[in-house]
Amino acid sequence: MSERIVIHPVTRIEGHAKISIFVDDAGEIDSAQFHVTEFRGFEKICEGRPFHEMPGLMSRIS
Amino acid sequence: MSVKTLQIDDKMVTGLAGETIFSVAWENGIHIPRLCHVGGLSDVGACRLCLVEVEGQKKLQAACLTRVEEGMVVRTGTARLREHRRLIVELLLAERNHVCAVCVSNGDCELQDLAAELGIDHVRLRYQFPALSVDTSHARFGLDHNRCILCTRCVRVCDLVEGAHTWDISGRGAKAVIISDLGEPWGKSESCTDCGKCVQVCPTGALFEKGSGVGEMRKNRSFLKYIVTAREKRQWIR
Amino acid sequence: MDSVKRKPRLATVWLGGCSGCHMSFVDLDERLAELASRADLLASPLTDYKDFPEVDITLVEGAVANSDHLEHIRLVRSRTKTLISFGDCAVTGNVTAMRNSFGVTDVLNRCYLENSAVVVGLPAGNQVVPALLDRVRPVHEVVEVDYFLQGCPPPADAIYDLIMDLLHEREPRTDGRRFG
Repeated sequence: MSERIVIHPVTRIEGHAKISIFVDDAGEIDSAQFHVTEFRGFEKICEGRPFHEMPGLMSRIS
Repeated sequence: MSVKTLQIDDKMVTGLAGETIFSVAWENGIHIPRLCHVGGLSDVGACRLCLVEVEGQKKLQAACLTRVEEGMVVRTGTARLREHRRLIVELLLAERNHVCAVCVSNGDCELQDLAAELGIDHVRLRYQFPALSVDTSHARFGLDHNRCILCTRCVRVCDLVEGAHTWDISGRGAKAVIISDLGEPWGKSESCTDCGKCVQVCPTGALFEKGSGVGEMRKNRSFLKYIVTAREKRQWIR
Repeated sequence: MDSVKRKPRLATVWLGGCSGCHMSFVDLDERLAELASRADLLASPLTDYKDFPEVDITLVEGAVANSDHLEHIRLVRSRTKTLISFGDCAVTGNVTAMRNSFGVTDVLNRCYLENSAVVVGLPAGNQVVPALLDRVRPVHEVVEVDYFLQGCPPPADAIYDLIMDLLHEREPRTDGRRFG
């Protein structure tokens, strides 16, 4: 019986992630995916802002 | 000039006829919060933070615009005023995008200091998140509208002290914005003399010197004292 | 037979944040040992848990930025006695909320279409990656918050003072706190 197992949350990492494990009919692992579920849009936030503010702003990524 | 005697909180103080409550309080070490007042510039009562209770008046009075009268009884620290000031600062913080953490004036901002003084630990109003720009067209300075509180100190210092009147306000209400000349980029202004007085009087990080990183913009707010004193003592250069 | 009074249960959560507040928490340094003797840290990104338990105090870092955060904070609130908005992102939206003035569509297009070279395309979600909320919100816009601890990050001393005040059932002192 094929199914998808989702491990949520992944702990003890910096940030947020989930893992999907796809198991086929024979019960063997078919594939696995690592999902980064965190996104804040820093590439857009910095637009139009002065260059010298970037170190302070980008350090809030992590 | 006649002298007026009045009471501010539990102090009996005197002031000259024509002096404002704010000025007399200041001289007597009585602290009244403010954001639009700067010693040396005209007062406009824009920020409404200096509102005080005057006995006999139902409405609160702006200390920076109200002249002292003989026998006046003024209260500056009541619960009503404290709530009022909290609300004003919360309105300011909710209206535009004040992100202290990544601001050039972090640590040297009159709005940030005021929020801390008033014990504001969160804003109860809905943040507006308007889309506002940063004008970096000028060679030496920048204007970030996200941090502007429309106190008009820049407008007044440029008009009254520098005499250029580069800044003014355009639009009304939530759409009001500081513009240079007739709405051109600051770098294209024909009236601006690059003196930087507006940058020094700006209470927040809205006007800043280019090249400032986060928390690096430190303003010299007392420079106006020299100019005012020079004017009073008639220390003209020519 | 009287039951032994159990130690207060502490939890920390991070939503749309950078984990800097948690780093400041860890900056308690040797005071962490004192904290460990006074409270049990049941659930945290620093521990391994899968189901959020019933706790007395939860520190919530980060703003509510996607549907997972929304669902999780509501669950956390329902299982927490005293909820604290921890750090500027939770209290004001801060940097995480800076994307609000651009709008979700523009932000996603910039990051996944214009700026992408290898895999160009908006994330499909796969029913696993959560959808971005139209508006990043501070925590108190979504659930009721009991205390606020501002700062980016709040200094370790302020974190220590707040937790100790709560553990000693004192009204927390608030002077000296600043945004930023």
